[in-house]
Amino acid sequence: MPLVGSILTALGFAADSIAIAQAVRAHVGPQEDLFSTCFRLAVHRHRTHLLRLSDATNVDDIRVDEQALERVLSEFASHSDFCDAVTSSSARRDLAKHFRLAVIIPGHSLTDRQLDDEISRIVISAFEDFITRLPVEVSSTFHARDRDNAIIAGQLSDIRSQLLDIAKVVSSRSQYLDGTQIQNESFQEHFHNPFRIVKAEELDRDSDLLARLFDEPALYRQVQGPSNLVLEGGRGCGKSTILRSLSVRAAVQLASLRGTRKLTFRETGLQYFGVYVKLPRGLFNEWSPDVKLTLDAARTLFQHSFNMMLLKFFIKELVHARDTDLITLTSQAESVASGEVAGLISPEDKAASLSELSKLIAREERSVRNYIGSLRLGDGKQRAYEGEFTSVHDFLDQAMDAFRNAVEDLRGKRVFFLLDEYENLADFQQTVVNTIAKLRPHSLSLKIAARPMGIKSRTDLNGEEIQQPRDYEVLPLDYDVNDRHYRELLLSIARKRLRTGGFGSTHLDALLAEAPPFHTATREAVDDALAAMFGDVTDERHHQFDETLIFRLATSPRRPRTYAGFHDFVALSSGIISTFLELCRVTFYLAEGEGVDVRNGSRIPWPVQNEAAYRVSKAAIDYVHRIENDGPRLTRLVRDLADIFRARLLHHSSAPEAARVTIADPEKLDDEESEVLQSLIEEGVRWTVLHSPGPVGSYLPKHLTDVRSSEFYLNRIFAPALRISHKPRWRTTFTTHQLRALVADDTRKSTLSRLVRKHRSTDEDEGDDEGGKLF
Amino acid sequence: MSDSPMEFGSVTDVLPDICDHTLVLCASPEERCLGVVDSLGGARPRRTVLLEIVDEPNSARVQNIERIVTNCGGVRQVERVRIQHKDPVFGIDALSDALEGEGGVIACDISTFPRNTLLLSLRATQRAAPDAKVTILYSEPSTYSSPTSGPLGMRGVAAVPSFAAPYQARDDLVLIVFLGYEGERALGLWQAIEPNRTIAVAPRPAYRDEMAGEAERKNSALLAALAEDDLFVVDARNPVSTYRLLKSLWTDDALARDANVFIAPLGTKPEVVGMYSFCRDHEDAATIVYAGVIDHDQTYLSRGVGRKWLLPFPERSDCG
Repeated sequence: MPLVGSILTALGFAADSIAIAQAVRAHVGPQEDLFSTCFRLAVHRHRTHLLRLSDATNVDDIRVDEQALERVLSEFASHSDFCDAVTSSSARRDLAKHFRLAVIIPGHSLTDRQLDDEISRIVISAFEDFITRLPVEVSSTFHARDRDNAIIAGQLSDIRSQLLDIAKVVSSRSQYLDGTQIQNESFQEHFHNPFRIVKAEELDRDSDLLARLFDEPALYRQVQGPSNLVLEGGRGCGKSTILRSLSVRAAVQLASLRGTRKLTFRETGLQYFGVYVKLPRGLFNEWSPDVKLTLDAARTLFQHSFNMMLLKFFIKELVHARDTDLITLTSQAESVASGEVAGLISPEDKAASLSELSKLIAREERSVRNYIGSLRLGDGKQRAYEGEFTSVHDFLDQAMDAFRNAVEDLRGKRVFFLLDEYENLADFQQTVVNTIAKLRPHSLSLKIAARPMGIKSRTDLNGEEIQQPRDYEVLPLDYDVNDRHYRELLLSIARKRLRTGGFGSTHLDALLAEAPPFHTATREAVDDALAAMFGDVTDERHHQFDETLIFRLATSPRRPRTYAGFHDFVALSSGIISTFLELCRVTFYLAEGEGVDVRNGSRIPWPVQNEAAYRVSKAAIDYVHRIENDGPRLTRLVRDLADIFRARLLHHSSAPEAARVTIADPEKLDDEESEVLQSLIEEGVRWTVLHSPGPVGSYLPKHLTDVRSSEFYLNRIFAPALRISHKPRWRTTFTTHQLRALVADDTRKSTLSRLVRKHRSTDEDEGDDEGGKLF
Repeated sequence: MSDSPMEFGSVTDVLPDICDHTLVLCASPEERCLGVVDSLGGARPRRTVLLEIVDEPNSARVQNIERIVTNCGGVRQVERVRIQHKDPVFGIDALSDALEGEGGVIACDISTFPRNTLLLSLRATQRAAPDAKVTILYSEPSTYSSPTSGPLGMRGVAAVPSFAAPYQARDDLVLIVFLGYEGERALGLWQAIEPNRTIAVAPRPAYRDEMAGEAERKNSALLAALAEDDLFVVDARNPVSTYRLLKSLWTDDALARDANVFIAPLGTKPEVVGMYSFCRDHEDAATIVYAGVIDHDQTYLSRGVGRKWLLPFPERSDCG
């Protein structure tokens, strides 16, 4: 039985296997090369695990024996009953026996049975991957060779749709094919992937690496200034990395890299001493009011705890700077400052060192915690808090002043508290922080990273409004994919990573091979369609409609458009640096798995990049589903909007690429009955599921005078998985009523089908471009 | 007391004086909330305190409550404490009041407590009745049924009230996830917290042979991101095993020095008992974070009542 038949049988599709296998072999050709690719990739992805079972020290020692694999594949061709359905572990082991020699695991001590268990995982993974890639091969052949032969074309078309159904079943049950899984695998350290680090968290504490990989954005000077500042941007836009770069250890390292030797804090001439504080999700609800803790008490206790927390982080950074010789901290200065700050906590308290001061801080934290715990567990009987208490109005300013006066290196410098993930604070907690900003103390500044709409409070504890830019400057960090500076920034980031990783070529745009133009359609097909519609084929017509025509003329319904090359990746990134890096990370991972020698300058073939784009896209949608509280509803909204956009893309005659949502009556979003929709849109913007072309701001609009955005488009990274164009060229207009009905459980289905019908037939031009007419 | 679980058929096999004890349990739509009360063999606890979730009405739960009241109600009525899924603090003071000053033995059937409620209830019980001896009873499920509507949505991630350790000025945030069958929930917690390092804990041995490796399979996407050395195992039904693992991570793995530690209890209830005991004995060690599911009717509900156990309740001295 041919290879395809054996694999279909093994995966449980015996009934279809013979007809499909014979047709594929006859018209598409033997698929040994495709299988070898899948097998190599499967071994690559299992290497981490296999390394532990061997005595090899280098993951590269786990590899495919190409000759043995070739032999196995020739056995497939000569045996008619090579495979049975591998529904049991013993059947899987039987299959694995044939592949034992195709995988080199140096020095392993596995029994045959154990080895076969390991190999069977690889083989099944390769089978699953193979079957999901096969429809593309059939589609390509169908269009490239056989479209003039009606009988063969019909046969291939049937087989393609059967294979698509099978691929769908296999994809849904296979963890190996899961986008998130491959994304996570590609993070493994030993793969030496230059794009391994995507998020600031992944830098661990390596300030040296951060300094080497960091690219200053255009607004960096402003960030380093003395003002309180909100860095506002979606997930992955680089906020955390910028904040981390300001921490004293990274800032000194950055300055040292510009010169030839390691500098001290004083030698850098930095005017600030940065203290990075991540505000983790979930932790701060400990201070939130509930049935036992009143808002007033929560506010008071949080102030004290927040003071203690920031002081603690400052001390830690100071000690680290001293221990690494970045600053000079004499014992006398330490004693003076510690004593003074202890007195600020309580006049009776004394501390002669930072260590004693830290103990006082721990005592205060314990005191608050015990009090709240007692209240909640019902054994405190609602007594008042009897511990010490500090206020945000003056404590931190005075404490920082004490250190600035005592420590020579800090004299005249500001302490920057770099508060990351600010959206994790509740509104009353942000009010506490606003109070510090409002006072604009001369000893310290707040540099805050927040997601769009992540700032929930716009007043201080006295109820006074926060003013911009007096109290906070707000710097938006989201990039426009069409901005030349964004592309240059990405290339520069990539260059540093490739250089640091020891790659021969550091030009990412050269390493990412482009796909054939208009793939999966062809230039001829697009030109023919344009000529049929307009009588001529001009650049303008191409510019206007070629993307649409790719989808309408696509040869692969599952993956209608091919994404490859630097410019496609920039477009899919949606202006989010981490998405771009994620695309690169998975691409490099898959390329290595397929044996592409990128390190020595080989270009990464477009199918590899396309595979990465679809996997990352699918993972991005899965991510949305896991967003707290609103994830499932947001996912439904995204999919429903995509259905509407796809209907326009495939059928609308003048404005097909319409992935831009325009709300005709945005003022109605403030109506009571729009509450669910409004909160969903806000959540979508906060998590960068939706973008707004105009300024959104970190602040939740709460005033009638606030301008509410009336336009949104989907994050472009969803486009491949949703099979829509990533270009939001034209508008799709909805009323608030329609969107409300779309997000309501009971009206969703009927509204969706009505909207799909409406938008596939509406013949109105709602875009910025001059419209033509399509078929 | 043995540091291994003891299986029982009748409660009196392991607690012969149950008629002198106080029984605390939580009503649920799951049949196994009856596992212990159906094994009383005619004996009635001296007192029964029944936690009852009031913010998610469910007819199966109502039926089970009736049976609990019938089986346990004697001369003294079953004392009912109203709690909420959405707010785990709600009702905990009433539990404290009910148990305040209680001596003797408090037998806690943990089978169907929500995990965050279980943590708070154990803490409230030990604080309200410091002289009482707390024993843990547990009924395994006979089987699990998967939700029909695909992956479950997740509520907001939050520290379990009174289980937040002080936030230390440390560089790393380490998340220790006890794996269950809801891989999406584990991934959701992980993506929300964005730890610098993640340690996963798989149940091994699992409750039954056919469940071996199931938690790892359901969490394969999360495990793919972890270093192989960061996957640990504990005995799924022995709280002592969990306690010992946490303690060894805490002391051997330099977590205490370098990291803030978050623990996510997504595995078994006996594991939750182990992490409760560890956090009770090491107050500053770790924060327990939790995220419930949006729709409890769609969760992985257990079916039937499986084996029943008296579990060891770890003490610092037993877990050295």
